[in-house]
Amino acid sequence: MQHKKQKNTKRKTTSSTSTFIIIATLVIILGLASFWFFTRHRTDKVTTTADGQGINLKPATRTEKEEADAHKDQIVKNDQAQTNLPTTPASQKKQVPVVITEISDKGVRSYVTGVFEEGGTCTAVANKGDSSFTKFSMGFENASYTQCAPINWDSPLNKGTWTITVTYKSASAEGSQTKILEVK
Amino acid sequence: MFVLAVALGIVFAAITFSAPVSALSGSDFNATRIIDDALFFSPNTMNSGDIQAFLSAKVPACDTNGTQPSGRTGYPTRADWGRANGYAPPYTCLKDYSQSIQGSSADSYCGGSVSAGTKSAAQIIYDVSQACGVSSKVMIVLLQKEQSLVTDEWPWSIQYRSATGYGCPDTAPCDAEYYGFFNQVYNAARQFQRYVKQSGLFNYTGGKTNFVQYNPNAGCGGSNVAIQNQATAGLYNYTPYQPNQAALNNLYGTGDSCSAYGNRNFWRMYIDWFGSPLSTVAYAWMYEGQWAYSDAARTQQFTSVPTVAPGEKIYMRIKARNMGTQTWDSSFLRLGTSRSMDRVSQFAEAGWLSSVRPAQLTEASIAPGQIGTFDFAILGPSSAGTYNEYFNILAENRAWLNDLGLYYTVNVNSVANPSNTLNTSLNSGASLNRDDYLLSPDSQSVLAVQRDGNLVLYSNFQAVWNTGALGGSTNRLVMQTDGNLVFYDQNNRTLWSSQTNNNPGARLVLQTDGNLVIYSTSNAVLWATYTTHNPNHLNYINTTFKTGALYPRQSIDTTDRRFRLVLQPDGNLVLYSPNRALWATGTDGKSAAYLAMQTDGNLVLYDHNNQPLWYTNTSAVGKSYLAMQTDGNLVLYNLLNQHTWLSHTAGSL
Repeated sequence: MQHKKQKNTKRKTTSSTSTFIIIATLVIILGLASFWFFTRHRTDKVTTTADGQGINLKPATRTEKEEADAHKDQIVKNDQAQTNLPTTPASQKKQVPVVITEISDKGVRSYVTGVFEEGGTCTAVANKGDSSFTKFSMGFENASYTQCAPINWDSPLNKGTWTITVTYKSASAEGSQTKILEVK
Repeated sequence: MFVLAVALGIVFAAITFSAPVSALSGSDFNATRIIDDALFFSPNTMNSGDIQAFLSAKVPACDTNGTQPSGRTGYPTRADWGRANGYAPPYTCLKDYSQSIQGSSADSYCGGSVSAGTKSAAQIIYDVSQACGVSSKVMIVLLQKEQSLVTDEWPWSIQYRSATGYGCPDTAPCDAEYYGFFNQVYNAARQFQRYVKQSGLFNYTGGKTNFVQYNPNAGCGGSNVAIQNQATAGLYNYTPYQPNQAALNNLYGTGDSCSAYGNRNFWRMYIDWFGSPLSTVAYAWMYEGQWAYSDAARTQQFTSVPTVAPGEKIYMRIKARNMGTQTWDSSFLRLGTSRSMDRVSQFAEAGWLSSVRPAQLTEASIAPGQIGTFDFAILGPSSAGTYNEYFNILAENRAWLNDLGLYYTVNVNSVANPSNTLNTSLNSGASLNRDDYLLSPDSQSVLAVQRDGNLVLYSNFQAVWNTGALGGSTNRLVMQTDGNLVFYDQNNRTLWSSQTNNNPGARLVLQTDGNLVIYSTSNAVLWATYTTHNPNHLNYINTTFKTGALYPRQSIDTTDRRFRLVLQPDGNLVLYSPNRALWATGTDGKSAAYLAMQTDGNLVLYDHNNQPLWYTNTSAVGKSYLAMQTDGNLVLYNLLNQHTWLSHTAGSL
């Protein structure tokens, strides 16, 4: 019995060792396969350019595809908005927003949205009490809006609170914005 | 242990490659520094093959026929929904898109040209990137942020038509003048260079603090942004909004009604596809300008291809902005010959550091973000021809800087340049041949020996005296030694004469007052046209060119004399602002005879063989006139005052 028992234990030990080796081999194979897959994956999907930076060569993500789809909704919306725009009578100009980006005692910078054109006139007026200065510049096309060429006052505005208004006028559009400037 | 290592490897690999590379957060967005100049203005980061591979990778399968589900109620497929909105299949993805283009020539903003031909989208992006010095990566991201073209599996034609949103105002249709994929890509890249080279004209500039709105609706507010560099300024000039907190809180989605996403998406997409937009490059540069002069003091600038005779010198100047992290020092920062690097130049002259190093930095040092200068001369080689001579900047014994493909095209002529002497008189024994002319000292009056057989005196482009058309065989006008001024035909027959013979030594003079006079040797008036101007003539400015011919040295100017279109003696027709040449026909050295405002509406520059050198191609519009406008634009108008051609230089200085 003792002998028999010893034999069973030996068989049991042999069986456990075999199982362990099989599992270990599988893990190694799986590990190597994973390593191969991921390193290959990386080689295929990331490359480097002349500036030393990587390029993401993975297919578009779900978010990027959804954004592309949403963009089409926006195109349709814009098309419909253009179609449904009330026709501006010939005598009436389109009202467009003027945006002042910088005012100082030296001058004013501004642009006009909703219109992309050459030849309009930008007028800047600075008012303080009885003092009033007016200067003009031309509007010109810039990317997707109309840029007013910068306007510089003939001499720096003196100390006090100034009301600065930029007005844009062209054959088809007009608009204005006013900002307050404190000169110290 | 090995098993454990492998298992850990699996886990590591899985984490590394399965999860997003980084968790980008809206709090990482820096409104003052969206992207660095060194990356934005770097055209050599991707070749056309890299671009094609990138576009192909983003859309492995294109839904050409729109067979996939549309996701819209009532429209089972994309084709159904597209058709309902006016965009029927087939759909061409960006990776497969190609276009036949006319190309473009170099100008002040895009220093390189783009050749004509049928090209893929990838090739167009690459060519424009090279010509305009803007990164291909930037252009790719721009196409995605404006029209989602890069990841779209079934793009519509309108997305190509307005691919970069150029000329597309909010609440108004896009400007048809800028339709088309190439047009869009080119004009956007060109505009980014314009923001740099004419930074004084636009709202946002690197190094300044400006108010940037959150949304086109001014009521949404905005904030002051201390813009750190030109690239970030360019993005705000192109799309003048910054993301508000709501847009940053939901980086891959929408914010609130006051959100705008253009510059947020640019930043996010750039990082997702190309990594950090912040540069760590020690030495890099950006092109700021190049000039060529005929004099060492650099006052006489060539406005087109500079021309030099063998053994003679012309004088170059290059300006470059330091885009790296290190300060430039004249002890090591140099201009070198390139393509190939350290190529021995045939234009080298004694002032060069060596035959491969034209110059060192002029200034002692240039800090990052500032502009430095390289001045040098070139010596015309012995062989005539047209040369492209390439240069690049290097930090000697450290590194070559990014190669922007900077080059000069130089014509080497074996003949001397045209004389600059001003012919205001015809001395005894001298003659004028067909197409020759006398010009008054103020350039306002011209006596022209015309091809139509007429000898005509023009004043401010108006004919004030003529001999009448005498036939097409006229040959020359001679101030004879006997004092007679005679107009001969090709058979030496007299067609017209002043009948002032018996006055040996007499001369013909075209005066500033507009009068054409034959004087005797004792200065007695023997003959005159009596076409004297009124006393205000000297203050007269021609602002328009309505009829007839404009000859070399003549000009039209704005009333404030700030802008001038002049036909130069070298044959180049050039529009000048107070600061520089804005536009030119590039016809110097081509024997230009005169600019004609034809009655068919075409404005044509002819050479001495009566061949057109340049024209506006407006011959179908009927009688027109050319106006030099105070906004700097040169415009051709028809009789309804509609513009038929323009130089696109409004607002330029």
